[in-house]
Amino acid sequence: MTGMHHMLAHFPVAFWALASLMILVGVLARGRLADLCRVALLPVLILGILGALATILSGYGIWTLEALLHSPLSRNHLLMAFWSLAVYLMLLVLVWVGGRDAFAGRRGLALVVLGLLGAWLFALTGTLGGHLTGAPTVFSALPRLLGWEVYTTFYVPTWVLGVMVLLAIAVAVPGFRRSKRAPR
Amino acid sequence: MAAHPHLGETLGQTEVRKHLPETRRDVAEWDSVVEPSHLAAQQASGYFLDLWHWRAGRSNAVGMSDDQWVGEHRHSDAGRGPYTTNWDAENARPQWMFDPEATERHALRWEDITAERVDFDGLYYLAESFAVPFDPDHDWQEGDVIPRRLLREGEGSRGDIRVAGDARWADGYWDVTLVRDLDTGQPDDKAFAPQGRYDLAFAVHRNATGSRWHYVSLPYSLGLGREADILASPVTAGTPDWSQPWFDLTLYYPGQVDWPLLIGEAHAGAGDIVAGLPVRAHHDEHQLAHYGVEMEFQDAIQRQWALTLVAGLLLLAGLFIGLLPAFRRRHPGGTP
Repeated sequence: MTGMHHMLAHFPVAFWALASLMILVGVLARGRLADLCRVALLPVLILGILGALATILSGYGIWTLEALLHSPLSRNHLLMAFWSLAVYLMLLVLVWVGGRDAFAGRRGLALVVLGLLGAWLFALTGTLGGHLTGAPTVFSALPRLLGWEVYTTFYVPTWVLGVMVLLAIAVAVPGFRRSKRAPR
Repeated sequence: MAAHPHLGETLGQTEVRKHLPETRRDVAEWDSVVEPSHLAAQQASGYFLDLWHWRAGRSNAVGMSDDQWVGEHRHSDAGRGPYTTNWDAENARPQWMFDPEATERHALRWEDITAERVDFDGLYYLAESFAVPFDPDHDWQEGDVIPRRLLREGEGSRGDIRVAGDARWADGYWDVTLVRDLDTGQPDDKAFAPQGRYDLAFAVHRNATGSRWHYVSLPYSLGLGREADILASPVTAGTPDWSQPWFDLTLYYPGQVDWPLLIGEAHAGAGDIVAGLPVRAHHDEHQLAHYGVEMEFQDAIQRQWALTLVAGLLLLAGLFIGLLPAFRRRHPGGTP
């Protein structure tokens, strides 16, 4: 299953990298290429999500769940994989719901931020996967420069967890209210 | 432990110590020791580790190293060790004290020790050659200190390893040279031979730490005139001048990781171990040092990691709910 996981991982990596690039071009550029990026982004995101789901499922066949949860590297790999999936899933729905307006104004800015965040997260996921197979890359130097040693489990203190939950509520509540007010 | 027929009743041990996996019927069960005849056959066939146990406090001052071996338990080699415990349990007092005629003292002074006024040039240990039986009638003062160990010349197989020259601590490092015959002819020692290659590893207890609080190395190979990680070359006469390049090795704190864990479900590399793949194929010291510390807090870290994962997903979900109304399309139709 290890080889299958490696093979499948190329799909989300390729589609998500392309999607982030298309978001940048679609939001920041004008002209034919930007139009093409805006048109083609949704199917690329869908393919990326499908590839990611297949990759994650195949990942569970490599080691036992106990082994996955026992290793700092695999814990980090899982965490980054799920966060990446969540970011690109969010992008998919936002682009789907937003249609051509998704790329304009502050919505476009939100897509760019999410696209860059997703790219950072899936790059970390892949890098950690490389470590797990014994083929690390120099990309690990980047998180280390930012203060995170990839051989230690990524977690935040309890008070930060509280802040994250409060932030989640703080940003969700206005959106929830606007959703309820919006005409159907 | 004390009731165990071999470890407790035969060996008189009270705690489980280092042992080799195949000395147990079930490696995860410390008390499943194989039959004594099987153990003897294992040792005779060479299935044991030779442990050179140099201690700064218990043997160095008399130019000795302890000599031990690990099979179903960590044993001392046959013979007399370089130290004994200076305690008369029956009378609850030391057995020995400094010979006042030879050393002009009955004891050390606590304030000298804590102020580090003892050094290699003075007396900081008690040795058989200048010890006399403890005198309970002496006018003992508060602060008098008698070392817990009485150092002495080792004998038999346990006395095989000696310190060459003076092993000294300077500038944050011990400089120690141990010497032993290539082949001692003892069944509890490993014999070395020219063109031989041997596995060896190092462990260092720093800062007076005992038990598991110590640093270890990964295994290295030692070749006697044969290609290996560490290449030993013969000394034809006298003592080596140590002019060859240093071999640097990295020590790390391994945490509480035992063999059953490494070959169990919780270790992704268990299959590699069974296949005989060396640890270096997947780990280095830098990585294992971090893993060792994480193992100390495994449950707490795993819980905090899971909470972090969920909190991150919640934050992204909150962000999604917050952004969604702004993305509801104002113009009909799909993406442009």
